[in-house]
Amino acid sequence: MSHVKSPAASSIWIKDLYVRYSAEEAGWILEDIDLEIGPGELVVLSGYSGTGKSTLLSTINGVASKVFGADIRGLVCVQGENVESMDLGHISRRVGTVLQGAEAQIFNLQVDDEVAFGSENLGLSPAVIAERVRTYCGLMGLSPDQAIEGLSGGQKQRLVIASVLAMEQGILLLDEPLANLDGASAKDLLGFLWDTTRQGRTAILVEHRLDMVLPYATRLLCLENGRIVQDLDQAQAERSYLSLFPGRQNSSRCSTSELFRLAHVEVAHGHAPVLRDLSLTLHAGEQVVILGENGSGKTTLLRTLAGLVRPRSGELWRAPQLREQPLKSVGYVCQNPNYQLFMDTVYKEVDFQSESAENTWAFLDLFGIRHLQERHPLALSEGQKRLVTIAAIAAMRPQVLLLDEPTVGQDHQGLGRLIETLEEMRRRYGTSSVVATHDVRCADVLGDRVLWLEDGTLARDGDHGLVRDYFQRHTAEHQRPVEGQSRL
Amino acid sequence: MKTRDIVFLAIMAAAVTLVGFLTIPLVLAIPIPGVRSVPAALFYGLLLALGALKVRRIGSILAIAALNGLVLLMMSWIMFLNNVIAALIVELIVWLLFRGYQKERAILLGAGLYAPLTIPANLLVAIFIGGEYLGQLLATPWLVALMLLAAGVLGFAGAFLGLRIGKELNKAGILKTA
Amino acid sequence: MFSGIDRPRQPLHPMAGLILSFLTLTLGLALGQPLNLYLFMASLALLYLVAGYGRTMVRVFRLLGVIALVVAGLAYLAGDSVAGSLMTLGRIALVGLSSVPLISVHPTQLSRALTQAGCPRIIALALLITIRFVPVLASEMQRIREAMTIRGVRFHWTNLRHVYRALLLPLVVRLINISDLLALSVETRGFSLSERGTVYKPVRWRLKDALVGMAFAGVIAGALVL
Repeated sequence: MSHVKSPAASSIWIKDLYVRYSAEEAGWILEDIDLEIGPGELVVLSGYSGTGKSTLLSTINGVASKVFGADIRGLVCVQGENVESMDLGHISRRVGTVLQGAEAQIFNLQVDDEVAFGSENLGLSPAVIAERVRTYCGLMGLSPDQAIEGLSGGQKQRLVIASVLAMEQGILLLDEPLANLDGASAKDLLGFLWDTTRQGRTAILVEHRLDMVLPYATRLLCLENGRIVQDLDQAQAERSYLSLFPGRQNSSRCSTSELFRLAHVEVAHGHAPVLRDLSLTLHAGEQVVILGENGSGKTTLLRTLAGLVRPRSGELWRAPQLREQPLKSVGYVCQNPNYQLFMDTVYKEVDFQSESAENTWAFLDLFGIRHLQERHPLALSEGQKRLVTIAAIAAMRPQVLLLDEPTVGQDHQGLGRLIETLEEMRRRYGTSSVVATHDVRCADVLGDRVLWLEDGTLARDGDHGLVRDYFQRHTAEHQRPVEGQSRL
Repeated sequence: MKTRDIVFLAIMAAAVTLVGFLTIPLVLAIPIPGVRSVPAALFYGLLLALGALKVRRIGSILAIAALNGLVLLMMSWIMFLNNVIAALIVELIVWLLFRGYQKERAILLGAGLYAPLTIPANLLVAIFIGGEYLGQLLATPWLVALMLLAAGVLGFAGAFLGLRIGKELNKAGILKTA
Repeated sequence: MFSGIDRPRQPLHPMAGLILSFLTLTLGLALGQPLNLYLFMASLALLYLVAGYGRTMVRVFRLLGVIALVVAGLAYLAGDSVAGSLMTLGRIALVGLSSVPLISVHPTQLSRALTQAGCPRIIALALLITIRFVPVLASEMQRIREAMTIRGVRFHWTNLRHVYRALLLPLVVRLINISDLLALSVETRGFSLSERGTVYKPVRWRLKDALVGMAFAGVIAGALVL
């Protein structure tokens, strides 16, 4: 645990912190937190879903109390001042917050206007704002006069980050900033954070992709049940990370019976090709993982297999049993579970396309969500919603399950359960799975066969060994910068 | 009002604008007075009810209508004025009868009335521009009454749906009403 | 939605465009005789051409021309005189002409101009949000439809329960989620109702605005004299 000195000397100083979202709740989301983070630190927050990471960030930036009305006991100071005594506007001058979900945060029509927004709120002069717009657009690889309408998901994420960075606050809080970023952009951002913290800023990241961030972090804080259970320096953190992987189950059982055959398939969005000259065959019983950077075509490949997108050219063959009942035989789970939940109880959600009540109960048990059966699906946590969505689609007993980033927001427990369930479904029903993921934990365990996409083409197609190749390529790229070498 | 209330009303206004863009072109060419208000009435009622349910202050419906009108202003003053006049009348009626949107009946009334109230304003402008003879053709009482009835029924049905959705989402903890 | 409009230089200051449009419509509607109305519009069209609205005028009248002729024809068939029908034609054309400066106003420029004129920033912010999220919500609706179709939901007018539960409800949930996140993002980026802030690219009044204004005043004077 850190040695708590005094609020004045620290960027962030927290003493005896307890947080809950409502005074009526019995338990605390955060309990007994004492924490001091000084200038120059790049801290990574890690822990299971629901363990309080985002709550800690929103306590530091004042959102928990001033927006959500949380019940907060204890003291939280940023740059020597009590957060409770400041309004959000004043706090935001000291603390910059990068939130998840870029699409819903952008309201301007042009890139430079969005980047300038925060600086306008600070009352900076137009000349200073213009300079910052140029700097941070350059850093994030954006063109200032580009229309926002044409930006990709990754570019929008970079835009939101640029907008916050341009405010140049002393403390940065980033909630899963690497989601939707490709390797090169992630490296740029982490490199910038490394540089800027060397110059005295403080940064706190909540991030599941520890393989990418740990080389840059000065400190790793692990939360469990609302408490800080580990406070590790960089070297300790990297050693500890290696022990976090769930065990891999050996299961290379697949039949020779073909489910899909793609021959020189090309898929486009508008005029731009997304998948090019793609040829591959998928067999019954396979567990396939699709790896690739943002924009490489992972989601488009899944959508093509699901029948949502038609190839512009080439041949896509489906097995007869998939053609007869396309909706029931191929189950597609979207990235965002909110798009696929619509009933008023979890039970009804899973029961919707289930063949019998018995089957419904079986899947509720398989996914460990029986205790949620009467809950409204939309009231659940994001991790729980994801499980319910997968359960609801799995209850159709499809021949193939297509899952798009199923582990986003899942802790190790949730991931372990998901893997066990997919394996159980393969054993019981012969269900094949195709999973698109950025998550090394998921790929490591599920990847009997790996499809490595690059720029819409199938760069490599092989066995589990490719997982290590893919992620080690990343780790090698994310070597910690040498002390004294600044990118700024 | 707080920033988040206004942001919410702006998102509702975006939804109202989208509904208008999707429904009005379907009936634009039909020379029946007030027909433009009918296909969108259900959704206007629903969205305005949600807006007033979340931000229970006098002016919520006017804010949504005015923001929608500001977008339409970039095409014509007439559409902006139609929206604002109808919304002002709605707010006045609700204020006189209920002094605000604290009661669900007030929300139902306000959200349900908006669509039919856009018809008289539209009609007056059409007659003024079209001249006396076209005015006589357009102002066929039974046609106008039919459109008012249709817009009213759909508007109130939409408002009722909006309240129902709001209740369910409030129970689920998603829509926190003031 | 506004991507088709040329961005960089609008012919006039946004507020000048708004005022010009409003005065065109109100003064034009007050003119009682077809000759006066058509002379007024012809002078304005010339002024707009000189001011740089030529392309926009062509786009507007390509669409509106047909509508105007149809409606004027209907008025004539309804028993109106030739003069009356010409008046109808002229007024519809007037509505089109008055929309020309408005169509060219870029929303970002308008919001900046409103802020510079002392309008609370929240109004400018709300306007931009309303415009920006129209295509976003359209895309959300599409995603929900697709996602639900894969789940086996049939969207058909005979199955209104599915339309309610599987389309309307998730769409409203997305509206709320988007609104909550956007509000949080705006506030954590320092936006405050009480603070004024600065305008990154102020919109400036130019000599052209004054010259067009004076020319417009001349057109009005001519119309009044006639």
